[in-house]
Amino acid sequence: MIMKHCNKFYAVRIWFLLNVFVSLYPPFYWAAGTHQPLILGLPVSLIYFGTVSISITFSILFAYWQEYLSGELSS
Amino acid sequence: MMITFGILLIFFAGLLVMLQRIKLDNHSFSNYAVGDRAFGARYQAMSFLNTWYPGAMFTAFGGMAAASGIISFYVLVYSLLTVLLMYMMAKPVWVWGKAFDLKTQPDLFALRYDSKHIRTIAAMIGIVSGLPWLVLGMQALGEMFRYISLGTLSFSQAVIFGVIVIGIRQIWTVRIGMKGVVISDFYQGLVAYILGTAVLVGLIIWLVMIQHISLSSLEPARFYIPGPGSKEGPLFLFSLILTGALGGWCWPYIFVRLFTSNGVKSLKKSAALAIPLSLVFCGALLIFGMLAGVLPSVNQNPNDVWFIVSREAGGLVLLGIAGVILLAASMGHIDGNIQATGAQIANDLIGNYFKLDTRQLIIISKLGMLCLTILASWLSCMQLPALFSLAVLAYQGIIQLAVPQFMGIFWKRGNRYGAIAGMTVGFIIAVTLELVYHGNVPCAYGLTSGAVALAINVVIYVLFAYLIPQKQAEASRVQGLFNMVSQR
Repeated sequence: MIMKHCNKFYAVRIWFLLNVFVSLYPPFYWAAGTHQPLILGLPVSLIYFGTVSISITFSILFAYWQEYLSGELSS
Repeated sequence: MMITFGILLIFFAGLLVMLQRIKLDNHSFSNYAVGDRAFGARYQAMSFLNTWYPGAMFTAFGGMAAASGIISFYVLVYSLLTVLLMYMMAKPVWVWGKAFDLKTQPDLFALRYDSKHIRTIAAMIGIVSGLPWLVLGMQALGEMFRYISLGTLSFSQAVIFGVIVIGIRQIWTVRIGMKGVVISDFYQGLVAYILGTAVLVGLIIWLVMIQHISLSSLEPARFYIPGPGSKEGPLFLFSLILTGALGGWCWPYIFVRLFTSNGVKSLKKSAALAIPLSLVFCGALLIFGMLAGVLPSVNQNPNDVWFIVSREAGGLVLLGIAGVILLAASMGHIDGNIQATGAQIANDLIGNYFKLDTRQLIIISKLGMLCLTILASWLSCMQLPALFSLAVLAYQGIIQLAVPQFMGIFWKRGNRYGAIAGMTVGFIIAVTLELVYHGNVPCAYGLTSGAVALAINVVIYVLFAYLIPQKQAEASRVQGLFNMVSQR
């Protein structure tokens, strides 16, 4: 049980760090912004910003959800 | 004009009725400055959004999306990262705030670094940097009144009108303090971001279905992100997102939101509530701006995109609603700025050097807010060609608070010498580079002046942490602060 909790805690932290990395690491946005092929009709740069934004949003929702379930949020 | 102003009047009257019903309670300065730390997650979330997204979002960022395209999405990414930062620092900041009755951002600096002077420096940087943005906010309101008057008011008349409206609103900010700000933020936030998002989605549907505009109608240049070889520089986007995310929490009126919550749980829940709203609202605004940029009328005046498209799609009624949405967003930002500055003048400047009782603190705070409202109103009515440059300059300067703030919250080793030296040198470098190079720092690969100064600031902070180790007593005190957080 404790192991499972620890895993989720680290999963959240790693997800947060990945969000920061993908948002800020220049080669990612250079790759997304210099070529303009479409994926499912959408420009790559839009997909890049959309994916990063959705990932940040879901990481916080997941963090809150797992803290709520584990009873860490008592006050 | 009767229709547009009538809609605005209904909203404004509703707001004043709600503010008038709030019970006046100035039994302590904590009540006045942070609303007795009594607010739950929903109030916190809306209060954060209403302070974070000003009315200028609809003009400046809507306009940027219309004129420049995808690059404007940096505001969405850094706004979401700001909520992520809020989630991470919610616990230490709230726990220290509650235990030591912290009321302002400089209070936290003074506690963490056990320094009286750092409180003054942080407050001065915050107050001075906030003024140009307050004036810009009031002028943006004037622009809105000019537009919804359908050209009847000149720009100067519209600004004066806007100043009068916001001035009337400040009577309640001064009287009630933070409690009034947070409660009105909830009302204003519902209008600005819930109704605002609904209108944005409606306008996107109108653009796609009626105007037959889609993403494929846009020029390829609108999806361009500056990279190697670009005139902005390869690190330009990195710099915008980094300084935006870190800088958000450096504004005193944003930071104080962490002290108004009734607990860590509410604060974290507010982050979980605010982030999907932020994603949908800001995402919709930017997509709307990009699509609307194709319209010839918007192409000529991209900053008016919100008003132009609202009027074209829904006539004067929708134009009036668009005005209400922008007014609601602007008010939250202006109120928050004025309230936080007043509290800082009393608590961190005068209260830092003179022993003041509750009554004196509240009176000084109210006087500070009054003076600031008058000063900002007066400046708003003047032609200030360098105002926007000053605001950019202020932003590059204030983000220097990020280093002592975040390093102090998450790292035990930092000390007051590094904090003061780092942020002072960082501030001076940022301002100097901005004044000399106007945002185009040579050999910086697109880094802004604030980002360059931030790097130097971090180096100074870390060097001092190792070169001047904390004394035993100070190390124990800091350890005690961190233990307080980990034991909860």
